[in-house]
Amino acid sequence: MKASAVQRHQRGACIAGIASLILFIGSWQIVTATEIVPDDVLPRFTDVAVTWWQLLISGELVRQTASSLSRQAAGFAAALVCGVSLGIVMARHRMVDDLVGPLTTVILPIPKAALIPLVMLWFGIGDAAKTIIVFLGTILPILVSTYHGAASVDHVYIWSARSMGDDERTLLWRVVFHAALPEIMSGIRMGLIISLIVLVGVEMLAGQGGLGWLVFFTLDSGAYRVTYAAMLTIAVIGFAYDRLFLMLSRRVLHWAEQNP
Amino acid sequence: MAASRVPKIVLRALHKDYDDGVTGRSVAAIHDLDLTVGAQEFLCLIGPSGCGKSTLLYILGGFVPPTSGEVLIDGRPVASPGPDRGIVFQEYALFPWLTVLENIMYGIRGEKTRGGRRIRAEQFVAKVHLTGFEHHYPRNLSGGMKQRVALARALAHDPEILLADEPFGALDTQTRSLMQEELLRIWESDRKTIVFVTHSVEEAVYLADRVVVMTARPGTVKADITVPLSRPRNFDVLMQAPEAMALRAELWRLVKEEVLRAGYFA
Repeated sequence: MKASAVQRHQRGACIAGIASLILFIGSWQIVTATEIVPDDVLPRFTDVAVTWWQLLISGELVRQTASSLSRQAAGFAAALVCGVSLGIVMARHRMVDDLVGPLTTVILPIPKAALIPLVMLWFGIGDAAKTIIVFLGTILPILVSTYHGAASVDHVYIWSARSMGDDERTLLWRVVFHAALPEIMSGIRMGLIISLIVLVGVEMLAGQGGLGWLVFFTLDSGAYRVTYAAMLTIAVIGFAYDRLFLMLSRRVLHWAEQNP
Repeated sequence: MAASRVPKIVLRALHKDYDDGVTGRSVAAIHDLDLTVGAQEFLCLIGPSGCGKSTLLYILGGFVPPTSGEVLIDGRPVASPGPDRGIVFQEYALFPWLTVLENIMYGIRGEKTRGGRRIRAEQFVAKVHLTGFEHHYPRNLSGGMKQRVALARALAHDPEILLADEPFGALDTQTRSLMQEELLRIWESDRKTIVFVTHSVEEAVYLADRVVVMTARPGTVKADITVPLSRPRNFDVLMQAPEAMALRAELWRLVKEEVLRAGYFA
């Protein structure tokens, strides 16, 4: 079977991606192995890889990753539920929009990392504070995207559902949620990225375990190989999120004219 | 004909103002309109663009409230949309996240089980000749197929009234005449009261028991004409009939008068 133009392009893009990655790692290895860049500034890639493997086997990496991911999952799940439902209700009820709208407009442009000290002041440095910062960082992009998606649902969908017996509440789920799903998904994508950023940030500042803490703590104690290994892990997680997201997106939006 | 029927829909002194988005002034879309539609009657509304014929339909649907006047269905005032009035739009309005079958199942509530709803939906799939396409999504359907799904969906929950807002306006000529035939066939076997908005004089003559011509904005009834043609109707035969040709000419004259009066071509 002949590959279509799209498939050929995808394959080409994949090869190019791998090639640029190899080039990057290769140059990293060359500048460190030849000691153009001293080891205490940038350890060799191979050393970092070995350290990463040791950390993995010792269970340390798994422990810190699990601790990061559980905080993130809790905060993100809460933000997803609240952001989507609030966004839909805001789009359909003028009063809720008038109440919540101005608040979101004011808070939206604040870099969420700036909230970290405030949250630590109020909620301490435990898991609660970290979950809350993830929640705060993620809820707005999800809410705003959902709101825009839900507000732009074609009125003929709403009218059709009403004429088939749906009341206003039933159609929020049956129609508005589904119609807004493409925008909700793009909010989720943004939220995922932001959640990783603020999580690592808060773990650096508040400590008490997690990948962010591992990066910061080992930087302080001079164990740079561990620092880099932890950073690589964060990068891999970010990449995995994106892939998982695309898979999920294709699944839930298979009906749409255009897939993201 | 119409007078002998039990009135299904009664509009009295209907008036609708819109806020003009640009100037903020209120503009009359419909003015002092009286209209009665008999039970099981097929009524076509025609008129120049912007005469408020779609607005009238949305008021009947309960989607848009009138500024003043009465809207009665079976003698009861209309307050909100309801499953007694099915609606078909020009832009199909199929839910793109649902398959053909799921779209048609959407409004079916009478059946107790999902299986029962499914069987009823499948009957409607067959009725609009879409067997084999049950599990297709709307994006994979042609315009004519989409409109057939929309029609099946609007009828599957068995409304007493079908409202149609230029449903075939976006279709090509052949598809359009096939759809008209199909609609007539369905209507002749299962007589709903139909209020059908169109801008096509030909379509109105072919389909309707009665044609109401609306004036240019603010819209009101200009002429109310009973179509003197027997049923079942055959499009090709019908359009050669002298009565049909005379009616077409008369309707076109009435509509043209309003188009010119509205100054669209000034």
